Amino acid sequence: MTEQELVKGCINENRTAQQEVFRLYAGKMLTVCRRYARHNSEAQDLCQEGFIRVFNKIHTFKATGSFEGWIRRVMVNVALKNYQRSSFQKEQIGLEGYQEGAADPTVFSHLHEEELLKLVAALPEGYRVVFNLYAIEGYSHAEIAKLMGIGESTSRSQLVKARKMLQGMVRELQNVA
Amino acid sequence: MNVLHLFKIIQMKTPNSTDKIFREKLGEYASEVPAGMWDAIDNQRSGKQRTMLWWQRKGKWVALIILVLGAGYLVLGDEEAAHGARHTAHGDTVQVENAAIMDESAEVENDAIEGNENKSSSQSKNNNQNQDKNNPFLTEKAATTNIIKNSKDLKNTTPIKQTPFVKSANIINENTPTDIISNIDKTLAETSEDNSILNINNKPTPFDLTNLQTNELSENNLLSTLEIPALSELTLKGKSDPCYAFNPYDSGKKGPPRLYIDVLAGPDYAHRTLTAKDADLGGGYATIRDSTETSRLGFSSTVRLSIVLANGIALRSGIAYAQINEKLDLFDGTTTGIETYEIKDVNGNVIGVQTDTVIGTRIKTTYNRFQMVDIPVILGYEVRDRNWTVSLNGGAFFNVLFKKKGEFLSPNLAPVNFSSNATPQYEAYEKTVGMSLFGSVGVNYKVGNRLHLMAEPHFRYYMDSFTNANYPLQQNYWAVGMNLGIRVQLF
Repeated sequence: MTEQELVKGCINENRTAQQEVFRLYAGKMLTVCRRYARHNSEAQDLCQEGFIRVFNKIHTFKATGSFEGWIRRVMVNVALKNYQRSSFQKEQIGLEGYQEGAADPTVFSHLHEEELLKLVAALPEGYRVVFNLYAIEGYSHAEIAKLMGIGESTSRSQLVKARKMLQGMVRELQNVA
Repeated sequence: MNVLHLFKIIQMKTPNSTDKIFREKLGEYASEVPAGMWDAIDNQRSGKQRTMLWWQRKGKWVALIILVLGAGYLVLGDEEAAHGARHTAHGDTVQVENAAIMDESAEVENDAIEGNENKSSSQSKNNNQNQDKNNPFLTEKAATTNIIKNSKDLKNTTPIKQTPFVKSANIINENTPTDIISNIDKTLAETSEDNSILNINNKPTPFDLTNLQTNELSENNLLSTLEIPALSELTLKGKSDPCYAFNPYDSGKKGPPRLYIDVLAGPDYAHRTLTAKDADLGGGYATIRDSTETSRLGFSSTVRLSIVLANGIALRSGIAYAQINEKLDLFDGTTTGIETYEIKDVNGNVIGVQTDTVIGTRIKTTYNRFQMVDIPVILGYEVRDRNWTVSLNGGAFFNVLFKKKGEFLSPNLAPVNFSSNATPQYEAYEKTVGMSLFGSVGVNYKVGNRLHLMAEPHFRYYMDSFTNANYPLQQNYWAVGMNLGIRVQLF
């Protein structure tokens, strides 16, 4: 089935088409969810919720863009919603005085994807979300600020701190090894 | 070390190099999917949900068609009703005229009719019969005007169908315009020499009955003389327009009550007053709370039934929802915070603890809201003028549900959570907010047979403080808002 046929089948609630979409994209989308979730079971819940949302809202997909990109955005939105769900209140902590560490980032290139995912998962929640949105999804700080309801400066400072924490974690790993 | 290698190192040392590695490695990485995930998704999307979604997607066209047909019915139905009303109004005019003539000159009229009926020109009759056949309008007019001639017969006519006038017209439809005119002429001339009962503004009209002579009628001028206004323009002196009197929206103080369903929604602005129960202890605290919290635009909606009596008095009740929104803003420019994180290895084992001291600003924003569900009991008075209705309403809302969510500064000036479902909850508010007084002015415009558009600015005053007895401040509100919506006449 072509992508167009898959989309049409999903719109018509064709179970075979839906299962095929799931088979094609579930692995990558689970990775997306794992990057935002605190642990694997939460990631699986997010992925499940994300696919349900994909199938429920697939009629809104415009064929002008990438289908995979659209599914990925749905997953990210579900993850963000999950992040914001628990709190209607937003507490922001600025980090104006924070200095980035000088660890060599090349060390990350030697790590396996699963190890990188674990490092990301170990980040504090707010930092993790900002790092994912900026570093991997490619959102700007202005977009992140809007999505998360925080200031742009907060987004920047959280990104800096996330990077530093990742480097710190790698240093610790190296020391242990 | 060559230049290319040096460039790579410099590139990797930039802040984005970390991001790039993560993006490249994780952007396309596919994790192993647990076996049961698809089944879980499939089960969660039950058959009912799938059906509902199909209807949501495909059914929008069905809904659109139903909406268009419904709107068409409401609007066109209204036009048909208005058209019917116009016909009826004509009939009504005839009836009044007829009655007036009958009242004042019954005997003379009868004599005149009996005496002159056979004297009508047979030539004219024959000439105009052809015209009758070719001109339905003329036939109709002739039938209408001829009521006067046959007023004697009408006295014994039992109305059937919609109005007695339709029946009357049918009964006398056999008569020719010449008969009609001559009889009207003679009858009016004999029964009222100065025609004082007729209000024709002393101007010659296309249908000046007093001057119309049978022998002046020709095939050409008959049309012009019979055209349009006819008896509908003839109104009784000192009486209201009988057409208007027949308008169901001006039915006076008679008739059955009408039942409407009103659906209204719109923005509200709530004004809060914080008053210290003990001025010495709570005055400063009230000021601090006022300075940290601001009002935001709220919302209210109502679904209610309105029973409107013929005299304009209305009783309304239903269910109402109101939401008061506020915002808490806390700002500390010199915050020092200590954050501690566990550092884990790739297997998830804790291998260390990282402690960071954060110096900077702290901004805390909390969006507070108070949600209320109330039962309104409203007494109103409505004045109608054709398609417009103006109403004045007053009553009380009885609170049945009160939920709150948010934070404020406690008397200790620490942010506390007062949400209904918070654990622990800072208990500052009552379980319900009691009664509130309501007043509004509504304006309705009839756009369809049963459909009205509504605008209703309103005022609401909450009688009791939202806070409980233990809290040092009284928190009172009044609110103003503008509700817009629709009214549908049920019967």
